[in-house]
Amino acid sequence: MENLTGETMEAIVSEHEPALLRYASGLLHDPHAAQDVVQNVFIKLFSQWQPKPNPSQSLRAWLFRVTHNEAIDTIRRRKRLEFLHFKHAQEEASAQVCRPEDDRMERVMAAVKRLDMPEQQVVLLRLQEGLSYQEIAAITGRSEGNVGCLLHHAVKKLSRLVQQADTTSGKGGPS
Amino acid sequence: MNCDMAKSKLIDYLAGMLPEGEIQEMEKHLSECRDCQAEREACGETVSLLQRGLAGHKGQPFRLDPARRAKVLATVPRKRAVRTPWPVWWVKWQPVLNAAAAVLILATVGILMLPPGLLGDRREYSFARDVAPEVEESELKPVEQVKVKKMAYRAQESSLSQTVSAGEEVESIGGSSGKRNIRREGYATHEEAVTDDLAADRSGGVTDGKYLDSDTYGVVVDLPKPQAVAPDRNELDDRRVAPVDKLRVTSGEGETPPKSGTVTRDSLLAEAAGETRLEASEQAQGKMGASGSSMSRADAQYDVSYSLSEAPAEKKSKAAAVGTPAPQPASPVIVAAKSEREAEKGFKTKIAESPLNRKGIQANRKAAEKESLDSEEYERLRRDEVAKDLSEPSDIRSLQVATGPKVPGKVDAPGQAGVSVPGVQRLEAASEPVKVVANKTLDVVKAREDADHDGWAGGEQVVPPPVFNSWVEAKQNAFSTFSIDVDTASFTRARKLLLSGSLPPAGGVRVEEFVNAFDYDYPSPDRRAFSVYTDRTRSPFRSQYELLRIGVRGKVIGRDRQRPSILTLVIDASGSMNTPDRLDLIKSSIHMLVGRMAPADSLSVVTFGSEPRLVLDSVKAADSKQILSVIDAIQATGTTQLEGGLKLGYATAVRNFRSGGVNQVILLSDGVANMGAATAEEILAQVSTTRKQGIYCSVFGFGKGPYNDAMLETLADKGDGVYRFVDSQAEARRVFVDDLAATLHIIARDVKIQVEFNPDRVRTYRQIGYENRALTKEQFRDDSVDAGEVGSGQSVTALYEITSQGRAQDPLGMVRVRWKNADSGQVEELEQPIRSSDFHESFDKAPVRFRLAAGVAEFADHLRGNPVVMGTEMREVSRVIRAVGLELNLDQRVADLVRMASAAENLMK
Repeated sequence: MENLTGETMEAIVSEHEPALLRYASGLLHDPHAAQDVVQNVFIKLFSQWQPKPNPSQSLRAWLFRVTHNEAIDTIRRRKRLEFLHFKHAQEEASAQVCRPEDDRMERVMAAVKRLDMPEQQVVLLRLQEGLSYQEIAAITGRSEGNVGCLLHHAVKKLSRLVQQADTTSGKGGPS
Repeated sequence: MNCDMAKSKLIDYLAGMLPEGEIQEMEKHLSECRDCQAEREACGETVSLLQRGLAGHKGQPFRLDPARRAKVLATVPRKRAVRTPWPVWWVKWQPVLNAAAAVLILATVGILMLPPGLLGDRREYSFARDVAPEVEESELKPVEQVKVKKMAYRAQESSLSQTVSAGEEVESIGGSSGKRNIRREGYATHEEAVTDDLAADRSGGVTDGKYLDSDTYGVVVDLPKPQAVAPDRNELDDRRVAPVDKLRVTSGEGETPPKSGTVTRDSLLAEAAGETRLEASEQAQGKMGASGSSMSRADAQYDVSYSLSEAPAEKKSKAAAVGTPAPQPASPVIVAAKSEREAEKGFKTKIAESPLNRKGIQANRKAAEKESLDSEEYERLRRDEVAKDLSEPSDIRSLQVATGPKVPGKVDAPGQAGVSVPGVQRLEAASEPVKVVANKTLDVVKAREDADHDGWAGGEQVVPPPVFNSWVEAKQNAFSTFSIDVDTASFTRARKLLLSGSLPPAGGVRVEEFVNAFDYDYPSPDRRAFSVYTDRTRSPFRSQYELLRIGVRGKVIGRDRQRPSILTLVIDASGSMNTPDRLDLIKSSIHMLVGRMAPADSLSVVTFGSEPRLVLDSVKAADSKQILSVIDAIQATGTTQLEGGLKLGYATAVRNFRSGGVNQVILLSDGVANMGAATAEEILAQVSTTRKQGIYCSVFGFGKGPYNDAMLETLADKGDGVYRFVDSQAEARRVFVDDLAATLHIIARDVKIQVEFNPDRVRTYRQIGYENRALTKEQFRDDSVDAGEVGSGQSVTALYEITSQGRAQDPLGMVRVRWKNADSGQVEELEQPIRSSDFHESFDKAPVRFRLAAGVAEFADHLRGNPVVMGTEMREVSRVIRAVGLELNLDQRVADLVRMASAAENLMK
C-alpha cells in the first residue's frame, strides 16, 4: 500500500465496491445515485491518497463513513419533491408484489426506509454487511454499546411500523 | 448478563450473529427474564424478514459501471504539501518571526530596565533641567540606552533623548580619566529625589565622592570605531564609564536609594547585566551567521566587542570570533578554483596578521569536511570525473610527488586533496605539484560543468549523475537480472555533441544505449521469438579479465503479419522548434513515415504551441496528399504546452482506438517544456494507465541544446514505447524507414534477461551498463514488473567483464530470457547455457562486431567517467575502434563512432 499503482487501485475498487454499492443503494434506494456516490468515494480516496501504511480495516471504515456522508449529501441535494416522488414510486412498485410472505418482507423493507438515518445505517451495516460492532462504531462515531442499543431500537421500531402497516393493509399498503 | 446488555445483543442473537459463548448466556438470560422474552417475540419475525430482504439485495452484482470504474481508476493522487503540525504560513515565516520576536523581547527587556520615571514625566523633566541644565545630552548615553538602541535597530532619536533627560539627575565631573557620566535615579518618590539632589548640591564634592565610590564598579568601555554606523553611534566612540548604578532600578522601584552599603549588590547586578548583554550579542551574532540577516557586519562586530569589554573573561574567545572572517559555508569547489591563488595569498596574510585565527581556520576546515561528508556522493562522482581527467602522465607524476606512489584504484585520493577541502589543506601540504594538480582538476571540473550547461542544457536535474555497476562476487550473488533496453537516444545525442565539439555530460551517457546503437548480425531465430547468442574473449583493455557478450535477437515479422497502425503524432510546434534541425526535420521525417505506412493505417496529428490543436483526425495513410499538405503547413510559434498537447493526443488516440491494431501516441519534440514536476507526474500516470489499455507512447527527440533527456526517456519507458533521438536526415531515415517495423511492431513486451553465473567457473563479474535497468533476482519471474519492449527483428547486447576460474570445460552459467508475447500476452521463457567453448583466444581474433561492442562499451565508460576504466587511456580505446572502423568501413555508424572517438580523445586531453 506504499504507492498507489494501478493494480492497487483496481484491487481496492474490486474488493470494496459491492459492499459500498449495496450500502449506498440501501441508504438511497436508488442504484444510479448509489453508483455516483461510490464513484465519488473512490475518487476521493485516490485523490487524497497518502503513501503510508494503511491497515485495510481502517480503510473499510473510512470508505463506509465517506459513503455515508456522500449519501447524506446526495439526499440533501436532491429536491425534496423529487425524492418523495421517487420514493413513492418505488414503494408503489414494491406494493405490487403479491405473495403474502414476500409482501410482509417488502413491508419490512419499506419500513426500513422510514427509519431515521442513523438507524438505517446501523441496520444496513450490521444485518446486510455483517460488520462487527467495533467497525460500526468506528464508522458511525458511536460507542459499541450504543450501536447495539440503536440496532435494537431500530428493529423494535421496524416491528411497530410493520404492525401499523398490517393494520392498515386493507387500505392499500404502507404509506 | 443484565437486561441492558441482553437488549443490546438481542438482535445479534436473533440474526444468528452472536458468538458461541454468548449464545448460552443469552438463552439463560432469556429463560429468566420475561421482559426480554417479550422483546424477543416482538423482534424475532422482523429480524428474519429483514435479513431475507436485505439478502435479496446481496444477490445482485453490485459493480460500478465500466465508465465510472474507468473514471475512478484514472484518478490521480493530488500532490500534497508536506504535512507539518504547523500551518504553512508559520513554517514559511518562522525564521523571520523568530528574529522579530528576539528583537522585540530584547527591546522589551531593555525598556523594562529603564527606571519607571524615565518615560515621560514632564514636570520632573523640567525640574531636572533646572538643576543641571548645562549637561550635554550626547554625554548621557548609559549602557542600557545604547543597548536598547542597538537591539531595536536604532531606537528613535526622540524617545532616546526623552529617556535621557527625564527624571534623572546628571552630574558632569571633570577628571583625569576623561569624561565621566554619573547618574542616579530610581528614587521612590519625587520628593526624595529632590531632597537628595539638593543635599548633594549642598555637600558638593563629598556627595560626589560617595557616588564615585559606587561608580567605580562601572566598567570602562573601550569601543573600536565602527565603520559604517549611523551618526549617533559616533558619540560612543570614546572611553566612558558605564554607570552600573542605574541597573538597580530594574529589580525594584520601592527600594531604598543606594547609599554607601549597596555597593555589593550593585556589582552583582552589573554582572548580571553583563551576562544579559553577552547573551544578546551572541544571539545577534548567531543570527548573522545563520541567516545573514540585515544586520551589517560593522554592527555585529560592534556588538561583540561592546559586550566583550564588559566581560573580560570571555575576551579571548570572543576576540577570535570577531577577528576571524565570518565563517563561509564550506565552499563550493568552483569558488575555490576561481580565485585560488588570491585566496591562498589572502589566507597566508591573514594568518600572519593574527595568530588567533588559527583556531578559526580549524573550525572552518571542520565545517568544510563536514560539508564534504554531507555531499559525499556528489563529491565522489566529482572525484571520479576529476581522477579520470587526470590521466595525463605529467599529472600523475605530480600526483605521485604530492601524495606518495600511486596506488591503482586509489587514484581518488589526490583528487580529494585537490577538491574537497578548499584552501586549507592545500596550504598545509604547501607543495607546488599539488597546487598545479588542484588547479588543473578544478579547471577540468569547471569546464565539464560549463559543457553540461551549454551542451545538454543540463544542470544536475536534467542529467542525473552517472551510477556505475560494481564488481560482484559470483559466490555471493550469482544472478544478474536486467530489463532489455533497445533505446539508442543516448548514443545519438552524444554523437551530435561530440561532433560539434563538446563532451556529453557523464550522466547522459548510457552504455547499453551506445552498445545497442550498433548492429551485431546475430542469427535470426527460426521458431521462437528470440535467439540467444553468447561468446567471450580476453579483454583488450585489462588483460586479467575476460569479456562476455550476450546477444538476444528478436524475430522479424513479415509485412503480412503486421497489424494496422493507428498513430497519433503529437508534434511540438512551439517557437523553440523553429530551426532546420527541428521542425523541418520533423516534417521530412513524417514524409518518410507516411511513405512507409500501409494504406490501411491511419494517422492523427496534434500540434501544440501555446495551445494544443487537432489538425488531422484519423486520416487513412492512403490519403497521403491530405496528410502531407497539413504537415507542411505547420508553423512553429508560441510557448511549449507539452502537457496540453499530450492530453489532446491521448484523447484522440482513445477515441480512435482500434483493438487488434498498433495504437501509438508518438511525441516529436525537443523536450523543452514549461511545466512543473507535478504535471509531469500526472502525464506519466496517464501514460501508464492507457498503456494497460493498449495505447503506447513513443518519443522522438529532436534538436540540440536545452533538451529534457530524462523526462522524455521516462515518458517512453512508462508508455512501453521506444525513445529515439533524431539529429539528421540520415538518422531520420534510419528511424522512420529502416527501423519503422521495429518501432511500431513490438514482438515482445516486458522482456527480461537473467544471467546466472556458475560460481565454480566465474569468480567475479561486472555488468557493463544497464544500471538503470537492473532488476532483482525475484523480479525476473514477477510478471507484473514492467520491463523493456523488443520490436520486430531488434537485437540487444549485454556485456560482462568476468574473471574466470575452474575447469575449462564447464559452462560459465545460464542465460534466461523471459517475455510476454505482444499478441497473446502469453509469458514465455527461454534458457541457454553459456558454453565454455565459445571462447576466442585473443581479442584480435574475435569477430569484428564483438570487438566493436567492446570498443563502444569502453568508449562510453570513458565518456561517463567510470572509475573502473581509469587504468586505460582513451588512446587505446580509439585504437580498437579505428581498427574496427577499417573493417566495417561501409557502416555509417561505425564511421561516426571513429570520428566521435577521436573527437573525445582531443576533448579529454
